[in-house]
Amino acid sequence: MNSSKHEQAVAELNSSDRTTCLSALRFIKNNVIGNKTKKDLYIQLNVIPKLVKFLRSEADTQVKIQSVIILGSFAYGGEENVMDLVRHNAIRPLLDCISLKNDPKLIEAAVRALKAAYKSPAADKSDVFHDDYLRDIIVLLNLDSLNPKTDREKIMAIHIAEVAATIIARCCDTVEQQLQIARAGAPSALIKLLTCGYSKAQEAALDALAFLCRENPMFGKAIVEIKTDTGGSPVDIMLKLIRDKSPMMRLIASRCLTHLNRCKAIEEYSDDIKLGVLPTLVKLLDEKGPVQEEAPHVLAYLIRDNESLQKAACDAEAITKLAQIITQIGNEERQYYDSADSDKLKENALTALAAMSSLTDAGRKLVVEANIVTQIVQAMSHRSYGVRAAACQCTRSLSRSVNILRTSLIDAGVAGPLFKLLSDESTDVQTIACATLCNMVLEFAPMKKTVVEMGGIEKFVELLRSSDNALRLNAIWALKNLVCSAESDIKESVMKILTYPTMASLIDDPEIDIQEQAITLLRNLACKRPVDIEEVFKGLGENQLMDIIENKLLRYEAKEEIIMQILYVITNIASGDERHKQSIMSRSSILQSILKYMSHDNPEIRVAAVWCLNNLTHPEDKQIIGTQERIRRLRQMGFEEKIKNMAEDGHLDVRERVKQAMSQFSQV
Amino acid sequence: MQTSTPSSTQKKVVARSEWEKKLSEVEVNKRDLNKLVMNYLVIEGYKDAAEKFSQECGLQLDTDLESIQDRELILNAIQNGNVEEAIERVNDLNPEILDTHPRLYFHLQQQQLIEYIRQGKIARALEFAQEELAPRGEDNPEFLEELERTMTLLAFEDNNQSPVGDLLHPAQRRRTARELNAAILTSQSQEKDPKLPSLLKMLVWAQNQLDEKMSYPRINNLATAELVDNEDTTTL
Amino acid sequence: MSGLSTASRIFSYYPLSISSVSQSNGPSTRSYHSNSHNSSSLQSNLSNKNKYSKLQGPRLPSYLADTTFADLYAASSSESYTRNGSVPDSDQASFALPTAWNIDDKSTNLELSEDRLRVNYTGVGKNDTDAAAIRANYPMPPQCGLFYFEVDIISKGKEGFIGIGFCGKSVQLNRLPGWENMSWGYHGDDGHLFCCSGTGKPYGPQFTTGDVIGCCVNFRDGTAFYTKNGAILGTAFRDLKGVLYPSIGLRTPNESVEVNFGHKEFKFAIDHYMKEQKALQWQIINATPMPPISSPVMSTPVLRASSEANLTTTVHQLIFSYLVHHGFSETAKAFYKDAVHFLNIDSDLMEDIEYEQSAPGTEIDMLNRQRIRNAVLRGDIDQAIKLTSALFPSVLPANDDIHFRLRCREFIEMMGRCSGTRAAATEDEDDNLVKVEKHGMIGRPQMAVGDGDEDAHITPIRKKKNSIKRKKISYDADGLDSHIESAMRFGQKLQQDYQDDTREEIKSALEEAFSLLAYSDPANSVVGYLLHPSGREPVANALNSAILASQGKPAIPQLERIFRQTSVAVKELSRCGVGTTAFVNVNNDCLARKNN
Repeated sequence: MNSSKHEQAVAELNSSDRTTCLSALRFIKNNVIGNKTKKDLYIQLNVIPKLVKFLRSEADTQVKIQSVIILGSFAYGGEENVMDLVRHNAIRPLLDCISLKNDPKLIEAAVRALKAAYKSPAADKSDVFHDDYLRDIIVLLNLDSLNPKTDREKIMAIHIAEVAATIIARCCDTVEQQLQIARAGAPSALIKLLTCGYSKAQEAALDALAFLCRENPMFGKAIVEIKTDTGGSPVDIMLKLIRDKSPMMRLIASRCLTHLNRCKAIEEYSDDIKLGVLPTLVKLLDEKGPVQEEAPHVLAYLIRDNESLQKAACDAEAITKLAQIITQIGNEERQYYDSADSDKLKENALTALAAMSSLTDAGRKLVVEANIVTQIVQAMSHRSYGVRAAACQCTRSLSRSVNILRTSLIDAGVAGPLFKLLSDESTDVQTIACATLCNMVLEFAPMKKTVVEMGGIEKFVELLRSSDNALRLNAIWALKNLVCSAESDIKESVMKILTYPTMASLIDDPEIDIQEQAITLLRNLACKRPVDIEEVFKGLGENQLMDIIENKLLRYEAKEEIIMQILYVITNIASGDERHKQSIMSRSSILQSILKYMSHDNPEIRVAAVWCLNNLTHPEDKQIIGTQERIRRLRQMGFEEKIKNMAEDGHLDVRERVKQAMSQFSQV
Repeated sequence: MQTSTPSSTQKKVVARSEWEKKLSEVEVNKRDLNKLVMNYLVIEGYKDAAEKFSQECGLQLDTDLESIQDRELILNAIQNGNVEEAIERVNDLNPEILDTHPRLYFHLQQQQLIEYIRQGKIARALEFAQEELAPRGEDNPEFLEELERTMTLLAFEDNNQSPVGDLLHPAQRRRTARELNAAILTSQSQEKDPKLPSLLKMLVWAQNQLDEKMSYPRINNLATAELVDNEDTTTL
Repeated sequence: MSGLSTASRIFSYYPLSISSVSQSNGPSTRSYHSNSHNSSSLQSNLSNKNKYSKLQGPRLPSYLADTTFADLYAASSSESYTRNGSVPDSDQASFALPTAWNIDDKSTNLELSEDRLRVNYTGVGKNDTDAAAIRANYPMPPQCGLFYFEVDIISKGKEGFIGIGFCGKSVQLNRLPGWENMSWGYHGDDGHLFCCSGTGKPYGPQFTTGDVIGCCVNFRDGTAFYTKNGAILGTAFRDLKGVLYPSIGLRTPNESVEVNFGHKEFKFAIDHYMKEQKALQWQIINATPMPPISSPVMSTPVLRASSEANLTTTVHQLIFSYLVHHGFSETAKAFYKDAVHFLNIDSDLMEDIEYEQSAPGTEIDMLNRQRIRNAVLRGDIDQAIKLTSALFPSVLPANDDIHFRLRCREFIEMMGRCSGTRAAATEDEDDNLVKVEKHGMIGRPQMAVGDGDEDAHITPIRKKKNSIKRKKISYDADGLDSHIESAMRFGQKLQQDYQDDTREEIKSALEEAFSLLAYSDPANSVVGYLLHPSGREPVANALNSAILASQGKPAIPQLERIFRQTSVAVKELSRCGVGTTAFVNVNNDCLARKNN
């Protein structure tokens, strides 16, 4: 590219003549706006520090305005450009421009630039929370702050308020940020803006409100309770706006209501969510561009964990529409060379499908009927990691139906692509892939063998060494599921690679969830046959095994799940042969603990504890003498009395087990 | 058309006198028609006409003249083939528009290329295409297609022979201008579609539909709005 | 020891179920449920969700307001509803809507409530031949575009064999909807659809006591869908045609349902659905290609741009001719400069038209018409008459009625001057102006409809005329204001010239004008409205049209003719039973009346 004229323009910025300088700025501005190539060119010509210098100096307002506009335009060029702005410390000077004492034109340019910069996660938003910047931004939400007189000034004031609201929407990443913004008085100013009648400003206000209450029940309630100027509830205004003629407005209003619904601020509006917001979102899937792209994302968030809404979305034929989107993108991908435009849409559509099929078999069935399982499986090898993760999530939802797993997923060749994702460059993708495989290696799932053959055990063990705890958790989980009700040879292969010492250290892992899974692994290993129990005895050594049990049980305050799993480890060991039972009987501290847990508040723990007792006292011909001996010993310790006291337990399960125990005691 | 048309011969026939009676019974409020015209003038950015019309017919303007003029100057620049000026003006008005509407920006650049070609500045056109338009095409296959189409202009000496001659037609400028106008109006939360074209579309659609049902005096030329007797009605 | 390994398996949860368990464990707070719900439903009433349009005659469901159908319905309803529930013959379009069940069109196994909305089953309900159906009092007119009704399931009775749908007139009523030819239904016991056949296919959920089932026939595309408790269930039937009546059928004892044909709020947001359908229809209309305005002259076909270019060219021509017609000369000049001249390159024909219209003679005429018009609008009628006589001498002799209206107005203006009423500028836009204009038809001369409109508007006040006698008192009095005096003289001359005229409208116009004399302060009297400047505009329009007609130019601007033609064409389409017309409304969609 012929860049001499551009170099000259940059050089002219050093001119002491205001006119020369200003016309150079205008030249640069008109070149970079809309033009990615030119933005990059000027950034390379190192123009940013010069512009920042103008902002810091006592330069002419016009010079400042033009400089700010250019900086803003750079920010529109994407992530890397924003990083360049951050590197040159351009953000603070921009924030300095928004003070009311400045020319409104400068304020307008600066808020625009900040809005563009904050779109990128690269920009550090903590600046906003320093000094009086936040207050300055919130003041701008009020249309009268700038005291507009002419129509033009009014348009500008509205625009500034709109952009200020968008900045707020983009600065709500953490609860702390939400809190500061709310404290500074944003919610009521935003509600006022919501009723100003100018669609763009209304959209921005909704956007900010949505992110202010995202996952934050306290602010959700607070927003709902603010009265509008007309005395109505903001929720009713939002419900009207989901019927607006502009699809963008419908989307943003739906998103705001979705966030309010997710944080349980509008439970009394559940009918409106189901009959208003949900169908609106489903219909927005037929739109184009950014609206269509974002709609499935909001839809997925709305229906996540909610079976009734998932069903309603299925009834509204959302799955058909999403399937169409995915098929259409699939066709385009085959036609064109790399075009990243539709990646986000594909990702969001898959996320929505995953949500819709996460809880009900009906949803899963509809996905299969829409003929897109093959495409979902193919999408697990997509170039975009977001798409891979979403596709994997979808596969995971589908794999919860054993039927679909056995037929459609296997037919679509799910194993290979899924297994490959365990080595994905993105940890997120690895984690989801691992979770998905958890479902597939269970006893009744047909893929246990395939996964083992593909080197699954080695891979899971390798992932256990990851630094990411979520990934480690899923890896140990997968191993646990793999050995669940498995044949001895599989258990053996797992432990050969994992090794007992590693398992022992995982049982004491700093992550409590990982501990729990490791104990469950131990429980599953010791399950079913005496030979399996014997393997565990050999692997860990009887003493270490009993130490583990003893130590865990002594921590009465430990997570209940852990206590329960340990009790089932005992249960399983006690189902073994005489030697196994005796090793438990030899630790009176363990027996004391069992007795203690029979009085636990949690009925499931009581059930587990009685299970231990039942297996220790279970009458069998071969062990008749040992059993009688054990019963006497346990009776001595007060077990029988305890059992009798439990005959009236409030829980049926407990009473059933107690009944069995009493009958076993009574035989001796 | 089908050859056997028993239904078309049985179609209801409405005589001209009867039709005109119906026409005369339509309630027309002149103020509505004035507003219809004003709506067009304002949205399409005819500042002088809107101002004069407001004075002559006594309708108040609900938009200020300045903002109409802002758009008028931008649109006129395009109509006159001065794309550079239009870009400068729109950037002065709102620097976000072209940064957030890549398609519009591409069309402005394409229009600039067309203007160079129209002016016979072939070397400049080539340089411009390579420097400015080719990078846009790399981002978007659709743009690439349009760029290729525009470049075809250079392949024909006589533009009347060119299969892409329509690009040199004033309608192309108007289309670019309209896209820009709509983006500006939307950025100001204003209505972007005037009503008058809808009226014409509605008439064309309604007459087409009605042709299947009856024979009646039609308006074929929308500009002269002359009622043309259908063959059936004249033979009555 | 079989129980043990089972226990061990139960606790091998999938990772996700764990997280979802912890999510759903949170306490659900539903405290002031009822309170808040009330406030929300109040709000939705305000939001025009289920209001009825303020039309006379039977109420029209709100989703049908703003449709072409609504206009025709208002005109025809009084007539058709007096016909005592009889079915109109199929040839003649009826705009009546189903409003209740037809007591004369039901199975004997059904009983009907007094309001004819609730239906109870009274048969034995042993087998399918005991089924019982009923039809509504009117078929659904296709030109309403959408017809929607909801059925409350009051009781599912013994088995809940309830069918909801629609059917033709001759379908037997001892069958559930859907089991026969020309009959369609959705059944509560199995959730299946029946489409003219005894075998159903799976469609939606079952429904039972307490559910509200909606049924919507869409005449735009010949489909139907159902709703359950306000949620849409997806397309049920396609390719529907014929005269269809809402219908329900019951089959076992104690089954009871009640219909809502729109007299109360619907569960489903049908208004919004209507809006969406309108948008779809407009997409189709907007995609209609424009005919070339000058096909023979256009030498090179410009394919891509042609339709769009035609549209703009046509719009500009229409606006220009409109401005010229009404003598808005400054606007016309500005518009010509900024818009029309760009079109010159478009086609030769366009140039011809413009040259002709902007030819020197035309422009002078336009300016002269504007001068005359402005004189009338100023209230300077005398000047207007003088100018007209001088510039267009043939107009007034040939249009006696307009000449009379001018002189009448002149008299009123004179009365206004002595009353001290200052002639306000015409730009004020109060209701009065709109009202008068609405009644004063533009372009009356050519359309030859007579002068009835304004008279009708004025009639109610005419009973005051007997007080005219007081005029004589003021006339006899000394020291009469010179204004009054000249007004009197003018009035007497007017009276003289027309005293032999027997035309009713002339007589009443005179009486009215003279009634002004009866009040010492006419401006604040009951006939004060006569003095309002807004009365000048219809006179100015009539005169302008007459001048144009005298020059062989259309008396009605092209734009207005387009509007009239559109309006008539759409109404005729609706009369022919074309369902798509319900989704458009010329007045609402094509005029810039409001910001929407």
